[in-house]
Amino acid sequence: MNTILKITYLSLSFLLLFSCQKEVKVKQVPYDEQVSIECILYPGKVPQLFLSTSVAFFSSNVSPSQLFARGATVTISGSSVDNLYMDSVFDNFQCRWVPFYKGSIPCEIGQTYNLSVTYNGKTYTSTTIISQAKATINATSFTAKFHDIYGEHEGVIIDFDDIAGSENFYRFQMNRMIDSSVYGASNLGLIHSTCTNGAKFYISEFGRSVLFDKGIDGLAMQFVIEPAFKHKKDDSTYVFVQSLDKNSAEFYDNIDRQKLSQLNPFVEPVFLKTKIDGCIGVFGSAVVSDSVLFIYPE
Amino acid sequence: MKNQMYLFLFLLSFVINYSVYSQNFTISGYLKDAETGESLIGAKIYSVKTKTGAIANNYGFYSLTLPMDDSTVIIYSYLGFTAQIKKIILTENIELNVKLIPKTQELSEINISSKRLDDNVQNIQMSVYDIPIQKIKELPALFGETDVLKIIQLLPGVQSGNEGTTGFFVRGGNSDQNLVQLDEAVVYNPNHLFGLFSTFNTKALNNVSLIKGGFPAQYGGRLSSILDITMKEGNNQKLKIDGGLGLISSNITIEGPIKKNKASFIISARRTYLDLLIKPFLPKGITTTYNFYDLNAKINWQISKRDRLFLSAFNGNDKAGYTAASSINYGIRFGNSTATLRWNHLFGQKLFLNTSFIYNRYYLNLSTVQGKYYAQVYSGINDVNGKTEFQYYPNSKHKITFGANYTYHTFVSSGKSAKIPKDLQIANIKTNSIPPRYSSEMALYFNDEIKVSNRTSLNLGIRTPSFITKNASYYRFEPRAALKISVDSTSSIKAAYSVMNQFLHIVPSSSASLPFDLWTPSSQITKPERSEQLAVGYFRNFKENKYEASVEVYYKTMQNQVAFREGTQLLDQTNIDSSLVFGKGWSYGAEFFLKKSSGKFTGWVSYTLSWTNQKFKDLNYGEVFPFKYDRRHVLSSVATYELSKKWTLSAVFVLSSGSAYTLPVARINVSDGGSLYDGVYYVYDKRNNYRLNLYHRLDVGATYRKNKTLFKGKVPFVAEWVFSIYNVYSHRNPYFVYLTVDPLTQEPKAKQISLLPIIPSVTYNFKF
Repeated sequence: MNTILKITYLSLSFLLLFSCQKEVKVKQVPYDEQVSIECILYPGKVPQLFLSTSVAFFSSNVSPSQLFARGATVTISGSSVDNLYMDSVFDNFQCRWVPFYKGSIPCEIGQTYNLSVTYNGKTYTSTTIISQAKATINATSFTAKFHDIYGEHEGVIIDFDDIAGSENFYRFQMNRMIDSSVYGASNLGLIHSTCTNGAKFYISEFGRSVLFDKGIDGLAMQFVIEPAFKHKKDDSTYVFVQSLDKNSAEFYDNIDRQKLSQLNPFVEPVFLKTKIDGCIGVFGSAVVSDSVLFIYPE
Repeated sequence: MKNQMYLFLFLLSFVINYSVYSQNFTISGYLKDAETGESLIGAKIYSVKTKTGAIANNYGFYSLTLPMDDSTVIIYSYLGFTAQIKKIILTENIELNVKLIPKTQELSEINISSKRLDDNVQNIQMSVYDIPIQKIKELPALFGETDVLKIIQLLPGVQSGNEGTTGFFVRGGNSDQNLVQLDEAVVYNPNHLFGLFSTFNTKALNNVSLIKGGFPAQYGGRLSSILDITMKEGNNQKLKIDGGLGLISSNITIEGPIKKNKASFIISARRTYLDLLIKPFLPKGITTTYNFYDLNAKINWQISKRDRLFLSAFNGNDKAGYTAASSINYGIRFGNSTATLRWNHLFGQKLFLNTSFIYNRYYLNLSTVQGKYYAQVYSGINDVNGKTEFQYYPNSKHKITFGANYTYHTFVSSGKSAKIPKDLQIANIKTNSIPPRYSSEMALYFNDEIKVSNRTSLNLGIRTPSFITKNASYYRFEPRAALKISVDSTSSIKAAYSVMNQFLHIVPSSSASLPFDLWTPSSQITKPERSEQLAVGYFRNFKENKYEASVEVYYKTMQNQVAFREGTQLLDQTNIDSSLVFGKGWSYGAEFFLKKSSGKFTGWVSYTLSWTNQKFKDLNYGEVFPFKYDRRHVLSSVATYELSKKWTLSAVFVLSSGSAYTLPVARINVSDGGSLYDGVYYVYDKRNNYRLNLYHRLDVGATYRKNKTLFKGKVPFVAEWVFSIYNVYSHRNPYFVYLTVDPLTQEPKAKQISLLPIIPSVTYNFKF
């Protein structure tokens, strides 16, 4: 009887432990690709518009150059009409080209802009106005340990005052020089530059989270930002606060919440909400504060 | 509240009027098992001359009023028992307690219904199933653990949840829309081992009924079904011991008289030892602790001819932990405790009173880790409940039920989820610091079952539930109606309409694979759920009731359904109202049922064709989407064959469409602002847009029974070996599908988790 029990338990344990998981072929539901438009205007800078198409979920072709929508007609009309042309920049960190459409007329504060994108016979339009006030950074500091919805992380702390009397939306920006010894933080942690041979290159990173001033109009505000790249003591950076328009704020807040749901299996899925009819995307603006030098203390 | 009082007084005066009007004589009493003294719930009492009858209630009480007669013939019958025919001189009211003698195994044919054979056609209630306890024990069972909830999943209109679980979904409703009550006490989580087994030890059960539509007014509080479970009372004739030794657990039930014919007890216990047995065979790096136990106890005492007291208690607890080097880790503790004190009193022969005081407690403490993230949930409910119910039998044409119910709820719920801290120290939820939420739930009800003519019966009822909590009060009105028209002696057409309200909710998590049963009460923000259901059916028996068949179609709407808002992340939340969104659901379908109730070969086939959809303003872009358990086709078949006096064979086959889940349809690049992570985002077209693979499974079993005697023939001893194989051809049925994306190649992969392969088991049962 003991032997029978032993054999039974052994086979039971075996079956339970080794039957758990298998990769399955999911038959993709029929999907028509969608156009994605992303364009944030900055006063004093020429427009840059990222135009791409979405790709069926299980496709591995997701690099910016693979998804770039070539051959579109893109115009941004303000006080004059700017016809955007194709251009690209090399991403030294991920070692890949990032194509986009580029304008030639710098944007102006207080101006209303109309976007028109014609691609594959369809035209997508949107409007934005650059009317946000510039924020002023009061102080910067650093914390080695901080807890928020993203979990525990180190953080760059930025103190500034909310601009009183209007509805405002803010996000973080950090510009710095790094080299191939610098790895990404969080789930980019496995990646570092493999194409720069130790040479320093410039990166500009934007914070994922968007700060809304609802209920704290005109009061002191604080960001605690998880940087996208690793650092060493005494690394120097320039930090900024961007004042976004409402459309951009809602769009980036939406994609941030989606990213959180992608990473944390206990968070409910988030559907992307577009700000441009007929496609996925946003046409908005940001006004960037003056820069403040920040040196990592540890 | 004032209105409810008026209504109650009106109903009382209505009942008194009925008594004055009555001129006939009444036969009443209790129907019991002659061997054990157990009440025969649902036994039939039938007057041959008047062709009228009555059904024994949940305590075995019956009352039948007939015209004066010097020679009335009454038949007392119950399946599996020898019927008794009594000739009565009915010139005065008579109290007659009847004990029916069980047929011996040799004499009886196996029946798979606990009630009368033509109940399918004659009973006015539709959408009701009585689960045959004896039959459950013979069916193949996972790990050899017989399970009443597993059988319920095989009935038409009922769907199972995930692979191997006991969670069930009735006519498009969520699992929290089923009211599961054991001796009238609500059991909030009727599961063990993540739902693989139910908490109900079948050896302690007397009767199990599932109602999924056409609800009589005495039932309320949930939208989709009532699962009414009655524990055994205990043998009041002699001491009996019934035990079982299984692969993962053992159980023992002891019952006997405290005072013969007056008082009895039953105590039943079950405990697993899976953790101890599996430990030596686990690979390095994996540790697991798992055990559960449950304990049922009941005492009943016949104080006088008119008074009986019942005290029953149930306690079930689960404790599990699983740790692997890189996988899903979890720790979970949960338990249910209930205590019910009931008093039966007879006012004369026509009015039966049951008053109950019930306490129950439920808690769930779950902590789980998946990848770099963890989640914790604590959910606790304490209920103090008082209810009183009158059953009044004014004449043979009416059976009136009315009563009141009050429950005081205390909720303590909280949850949080975040990235695992760098020091790996995850702080537990401090349960003592969670602020409790209090609420009161009340209901008055009145129900009259009317025999309009020999062919037509009507059931009319009203229920007025109310719910009072901080800053919010809800008063509702629920009409109930059912109609039965007999086409002939073997067939009938039935229709039922009911409105139900539900004040307590589980918010289903669409992302978690573990049981995140976070109960929350209605509040100013979370309105009570409400359903309206219309069902019509045709019922027919064949070959002298050996075969029974039915077709039912239903349409059900559900308002104020709850779901988590997109992107909800629990952050030490004690009040989750602000994380919820609200919508509506609707379900419709057709259910086919064919059962063979007697003979050597018995069993049933059920098929359900149904659609269930939901619409939430704040989910799925405001568009309609399918419910998670919207399974188009569900086919179940159950068969047992009595091969000989010693051997019984059984099989269960289940085939169903896969349940729905959500996957993105596309990916896009967000170049500006996505720099912290990979800049690749998902495009969803619809919630629940994918289907899990087809679910199918065959289980087989064989029972070997041997009758012996102990102590030189003085004590009969029944030994039983139950062999079963779950999932014979080891089909990898889907439990859930999750996504992984390679951070370097960005290539997504879908992985399916399957839980239960082929599982053989053997159980040894004994009874003496």
